[in-house]
Amino acid sequence: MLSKVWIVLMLLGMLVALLSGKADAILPAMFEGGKKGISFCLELAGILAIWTGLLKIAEKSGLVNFIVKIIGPVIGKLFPAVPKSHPAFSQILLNMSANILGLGNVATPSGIKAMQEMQKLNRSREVASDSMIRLLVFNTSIIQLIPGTVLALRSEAGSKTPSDILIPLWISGILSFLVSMIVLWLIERRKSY
Amino acid sequence: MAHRKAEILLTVLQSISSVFITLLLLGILTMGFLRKVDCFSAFKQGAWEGAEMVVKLFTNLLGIFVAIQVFKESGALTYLIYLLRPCFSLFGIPEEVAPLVLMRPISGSASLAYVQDILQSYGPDSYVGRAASMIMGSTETIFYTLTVYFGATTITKTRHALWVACMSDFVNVVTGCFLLRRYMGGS
Repeated sequence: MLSKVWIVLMLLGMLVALLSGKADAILPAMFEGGKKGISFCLELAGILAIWTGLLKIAEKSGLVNFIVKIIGPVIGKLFPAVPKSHPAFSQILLNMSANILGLGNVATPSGIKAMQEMQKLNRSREVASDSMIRLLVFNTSIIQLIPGTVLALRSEAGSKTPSDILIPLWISGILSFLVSMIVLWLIERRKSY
Repeated sequence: MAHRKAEILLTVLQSISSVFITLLLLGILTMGFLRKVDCFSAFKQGAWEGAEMVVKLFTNLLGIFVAIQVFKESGALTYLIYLLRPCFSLFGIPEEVAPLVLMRPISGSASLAYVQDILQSYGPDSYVGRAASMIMGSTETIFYTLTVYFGATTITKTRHALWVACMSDFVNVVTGCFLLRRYMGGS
């Protein structure tokens, strides 16, 4: 999937540049992309390593097992294909909780680990399983209760009521979340993997 | 008066989440300490795993960043937005915000800059300003999330993941704009 996206973006970009006389923008754009890629990875590495380190402590102290016992049953219903004793389950749990609590930086490492662990349960090396897709859709459709950046932006721009967007945001977020769950369920019914 | 209240509420909520995170960290470390875990050693072990993740992700992320930059700088994104803009008003999404809706799954920083621009030009409390803020706060950079989450595995066929995520995004935007129009006045 990603390779298709990559080819399409690159080809379209280069064609449009050539046809609109902006061919000189291509090489600089590639290098800029390279720079952005590397600096993003460096930042990500820092935050990721810190949180995976902290989560390791939580794992070793039994805190993760404790959380699994408490919230496990609830999340278990959303991912029936994943056995509760498998490490994938605890990672999924951490990822979901982090998402709900708005801790994006904790959600990422546990999400990545969850995918890696789910891969061990997967039938195929290259095709994503239903549970994996479910987790991804959760991660993209979950909304933050308090979108700090946006609120700050609004305040700075002089808004009299920066938080007035919160209610429509919550409602539409919940609605789209439910819609995506229903769509996933329908797809899986037709052709489960 | 309402402004004051909202400000106070905001600051309170923000401090609650910082306090919460700090408590969480405290909890993790305390539990580790009480259970006689060598915390720093565990931290280092976990951190190496995190670093490994990024190494695995590096080439995928590099590819995506390069492709997106080329797509943006060549003007292809601008043309795409220009082509699709009229479609957005069909769904009740204001045209001014259409570029944001298209950019958001692709680039967080460009979207942020765009939102700031809209807030300046239209004012934060206008329909357009609110719509832009809402979209920024409720949607995700889908392409990056997809890359990061699947990039550390050998998965290449993500099946319906991308389009379900995009669809959910779109539904979010449409209902949000609808609610704004209905209940907060706007055209």
